[in-house]
Amino acid sequence: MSDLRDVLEREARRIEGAPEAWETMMQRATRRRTARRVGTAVLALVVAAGGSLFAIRALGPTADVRPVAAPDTLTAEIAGVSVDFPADWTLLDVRHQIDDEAPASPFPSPVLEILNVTGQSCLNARGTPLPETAVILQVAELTEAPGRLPAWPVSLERESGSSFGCGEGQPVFRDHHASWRASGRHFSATLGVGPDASRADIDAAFAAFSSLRFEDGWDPFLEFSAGPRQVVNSGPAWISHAFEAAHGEFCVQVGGERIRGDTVGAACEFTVTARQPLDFSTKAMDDGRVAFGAVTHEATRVTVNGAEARVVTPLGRYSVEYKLFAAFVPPSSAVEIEAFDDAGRNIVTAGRTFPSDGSSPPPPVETPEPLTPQARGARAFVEEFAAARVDGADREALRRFLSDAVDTAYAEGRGELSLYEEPGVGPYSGFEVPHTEEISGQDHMVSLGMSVETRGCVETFYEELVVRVAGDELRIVGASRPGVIASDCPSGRP
Amino acid sequence: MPDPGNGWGRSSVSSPMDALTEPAQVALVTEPPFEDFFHAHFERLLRVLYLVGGDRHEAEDLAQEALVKAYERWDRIRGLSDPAGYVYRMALNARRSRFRRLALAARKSVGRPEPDPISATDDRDAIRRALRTLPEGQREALVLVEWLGLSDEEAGKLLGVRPVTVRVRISRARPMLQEALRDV
Repeated sequence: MSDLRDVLEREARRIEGAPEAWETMMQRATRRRTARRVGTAVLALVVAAGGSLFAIRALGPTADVRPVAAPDTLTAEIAGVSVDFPADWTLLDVRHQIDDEAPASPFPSPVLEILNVTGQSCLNARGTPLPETAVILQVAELTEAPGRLPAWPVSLERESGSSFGCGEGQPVFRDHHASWRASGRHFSATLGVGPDASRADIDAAFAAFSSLRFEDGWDPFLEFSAGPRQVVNSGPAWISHAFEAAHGEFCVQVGGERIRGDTVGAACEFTVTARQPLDFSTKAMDDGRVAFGAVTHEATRVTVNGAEARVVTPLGRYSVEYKLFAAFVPPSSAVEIEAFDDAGRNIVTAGRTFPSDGSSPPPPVETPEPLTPQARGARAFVEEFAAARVDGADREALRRFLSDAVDTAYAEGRGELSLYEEPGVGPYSGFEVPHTEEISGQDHMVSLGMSVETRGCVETFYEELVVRVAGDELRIVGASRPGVIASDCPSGRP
Repeated sequence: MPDPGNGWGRSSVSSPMDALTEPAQVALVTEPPFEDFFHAHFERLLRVLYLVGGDRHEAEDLAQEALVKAYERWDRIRGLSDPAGYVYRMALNARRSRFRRLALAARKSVGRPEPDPISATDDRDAIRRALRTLPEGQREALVLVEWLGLSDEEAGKLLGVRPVTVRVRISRARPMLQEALRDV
């Protein structure tokens, strides 16, 4: 294969980094920092200036700040976390500071930050230099707990030799850490203390930490954050992001972690067109699933199974077109989503029925027509899948089966399944079983995604199946309609 | 065969992001300054993006963007076991993100752009055109393994797929590319 390597090397050597690349990059970094500084300075000043109530309400959909008994103290609530802090300090809702293009991963998801100066959050090292007198308390939620954490209340502990900077060239802060669980969620906090911080400010930061309260009943792992890309939801093994795509469409990416024993990033994607809530449910905790999605801005109310869903609006700072909603649903119930406008008119209804654990009959298998050739291929796979068998009824066996089925199909060149039988269809450019989950004792939801190239354009399909494991047999007892979720085919194709 | 370079973390078995599951804290000063990292990796990253995307301007833009972000987060990234892997992954993610937007835009358009008759007959672009015949995932896998010299496991981590998927993609890409390059 050295010939191929030589060919690639020859092609690669056609371009070289410009001599001024470093300077260009630094100029670009400066421009980005300046743009952020303007926006954040306005944010921080407004928040710090006592008129905080309006400001935080405007900036964070669920943030709530109000004066408490002592006039020099404010209480804020962000994402179910309440904190008391000095009124002349700055509170930042940092939930939007999710890396917009970083690989999905269960790293701490920032919630709030308080500091004794007016300034930028230093969580992403994007801020203006903080003075050496600064004190910063950062609270983040852990989407995946590193082992069993102690229950709240806990104390901030100094870690020997530990310290952190807030951007290159900025003062070094000594820091303290704590991790804990509370109300079914997992958190970590870092307290940074500048080299010249006053004792009073350090004490105030410790007091603020001790004042943290966690709303009972706040939906674990059910958090929205503002920004161009947001963590919509996450669970022990997966995380989803939402972002606005071109042409007003709205994309939700579901990235699985350690699925099939491996790390899979952005394993599945959805594109939701206007007026169509994303009908996707998944298991967020041991005792339920979360239905979540997006509706267009004219929806003022969303219900899931008749109950009000949490609706957050607008979607991020750069879009007023969509609102996100979410609600917990029981493990085996149907999911019926309805959205209503200002006048109470039902503007959209969507839903799907999952089979229960036997108390109700399984839903009929849909037979959508007309089907494209690709969709017929998807259906063929479903049928082949339904006829397959596994050794045992346990979840691992199912997982193994799915994994092996895909690997074998690839290895034997059968990844195409029956799609090649359709003239002009093929080959696959992707085929994934990105997600499986147990939705009752014997039923599993299986997500399938596949991309198919047809006459030079690519369409990506997504389908959800409900698979029942009975003895050594797998049976499809429910299926969503295979839908095109992405395509670069010109309109009207195929 | 290009040298994978220092800092690639070949023997690392953990994801670059694993380190970030710990509370946000950053080791100090023992890691190299960002400028050294930049000079060690910029050109290689640029060439990977060029081979994958075929557009030198886009490659330059993506490489710069990824490294700007790395610079902004250097306090956190430099402590990772594999900072270069993190940056490559960020750059390829950004490229895919753009690709998706373009795909959506294409869906809205009335037709696909006609190939440029001049570039189509330019022999100098033959390799680039041949690479473009490969599906996106195959092209990425091929460049990372064949040119950058990563193992299947390393490329899989970077691309967010399993090693077996990388192997399959490469085994499909090789004959297709050789066929496309037959007359070059």
